[in-house]
Amino acid sequence: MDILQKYFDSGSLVTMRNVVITLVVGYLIIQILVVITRWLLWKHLSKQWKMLISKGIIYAGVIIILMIILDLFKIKISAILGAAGVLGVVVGFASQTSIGNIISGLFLVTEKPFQVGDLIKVGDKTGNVYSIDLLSIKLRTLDNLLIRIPNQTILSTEVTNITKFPIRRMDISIGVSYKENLKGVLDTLRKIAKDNPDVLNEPEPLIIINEFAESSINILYGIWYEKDLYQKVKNEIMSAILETFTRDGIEIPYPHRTLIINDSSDKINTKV
Amino acid sequence: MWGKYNIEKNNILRFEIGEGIYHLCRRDKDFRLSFTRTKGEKLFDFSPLKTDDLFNEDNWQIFICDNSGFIHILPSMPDRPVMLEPQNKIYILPNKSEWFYIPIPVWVLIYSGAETMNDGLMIKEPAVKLSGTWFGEPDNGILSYSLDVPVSIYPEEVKSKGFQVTCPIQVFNESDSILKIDRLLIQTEYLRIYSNNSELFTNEIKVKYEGELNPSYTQFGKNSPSIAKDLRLLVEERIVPSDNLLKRSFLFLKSGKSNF
Repeated sequence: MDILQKYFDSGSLVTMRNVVITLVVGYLIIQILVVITRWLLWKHLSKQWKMLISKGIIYAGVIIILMIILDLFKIKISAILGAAGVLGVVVGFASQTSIGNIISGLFLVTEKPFQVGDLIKVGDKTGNVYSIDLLSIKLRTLDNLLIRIPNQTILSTEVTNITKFPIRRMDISIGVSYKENLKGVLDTLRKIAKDNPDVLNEPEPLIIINEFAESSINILYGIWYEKDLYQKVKNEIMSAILETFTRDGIEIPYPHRTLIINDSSDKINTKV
Repeated sequence: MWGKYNIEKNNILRFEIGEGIYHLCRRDKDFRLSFTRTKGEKLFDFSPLKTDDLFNEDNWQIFICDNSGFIHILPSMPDRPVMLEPQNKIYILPNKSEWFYIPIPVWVLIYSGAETMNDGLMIKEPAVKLSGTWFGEPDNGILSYSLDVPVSIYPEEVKSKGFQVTCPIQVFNESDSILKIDRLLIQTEYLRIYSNNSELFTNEIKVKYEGELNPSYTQFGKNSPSIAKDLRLLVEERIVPSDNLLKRSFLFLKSGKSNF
């Protein structure tokens, strides 16, 4: 009890009370500032900027609270700052990558190549942007995995934003037999696109006779659709192509070769 | 056809509008609704049923809502703009103007509730499913519905089907060149729907064309259209159009095929 009494008499209780008050009031001020800032900038800024500004306020607030608490404990901040100079060099070396990522993050937020929710491709990874943080972005892949990619990597890698624009083109390669009437095939493909309400009438489907391949004439069939309807449109169009071709007797040939044996003029057709 | 209906308990109201077949059943605590889409376009067909057979259907949706027995069946303008592709090319010579009457398929809205329709929306389906299309460049344009219909310039020729609303548009060519209308975007969110109990009409649209390099000016009427009499307002516009005509006029693109 004596020890406690001595402790309280020395003014530590007052200091502790002030620290608690500083923490509580500081926390409340930070939260209020974050809410007010978000409310004021809600309509004007992207999610990334809001996140960055909120975190900036929080970090600045925490540093200020820390300095006030140190002052309450009569610890000289100037001495700490002096030590921080030396420490800063050490920490700076240790956190080069992190600082690089933070700066890259700022560039990303300014450049805005994608937003939260966009479907992007980074290297061989494809996924929806789940969050854009100070050090990294997080992707949720289509099979529901979370991938963390450092901002520096994003900045130095080619990024494809798949869903930037409201409409997309789906390119389908279709092979038809050499015996087919190409004009009829192209008309059939145009009709398939027109009959599907989810395929946009304009821009018109891109239909190109692309290649005289070994076993088939390959046609590039590019249809435009609303970006969110990829799966639906693909399934419907692929089904419609097969169904219509089967009904109209348009052959999608298997690969086949014509073999000529020696100098004999007899040809043997075999299907592989 | 459009309006308020009272369904007795354990009765079923069956009706067809456009491509849609609707069954609405009122039970003790809930409404049940089924919707199927057919290929053919039908006019209105109402047939009250009193049978329990349809309870076995798999596609009933159950709505716990105002159970006073009242439902409202109302038309609505499509949820996106409609891009008109006239079946015949239309040319307007310089300093001429003309009215066009365009039939647009409506959406069908079903609400529950005795008076207010707020929060009681049970279903919202297009009477006829229109193909999607894009008005503008691939990186900058507007998703819209494609409307491939004959356009009439004589009011007496206008024969809208029951699930269509007639939109009167007056186009002024105030330029020095011939105006060829390839595509015309109709911003449906600014249109009200009026009814005279047999047909539906929207408020009038006036468009001034002042040449390819200038934006077109568009104005949406604030009163019932003059094409018919005894019209009553059935549905308000989703967005009240501003008086700033220049702003609205930017909805008409100016180059290539999408040019108006």
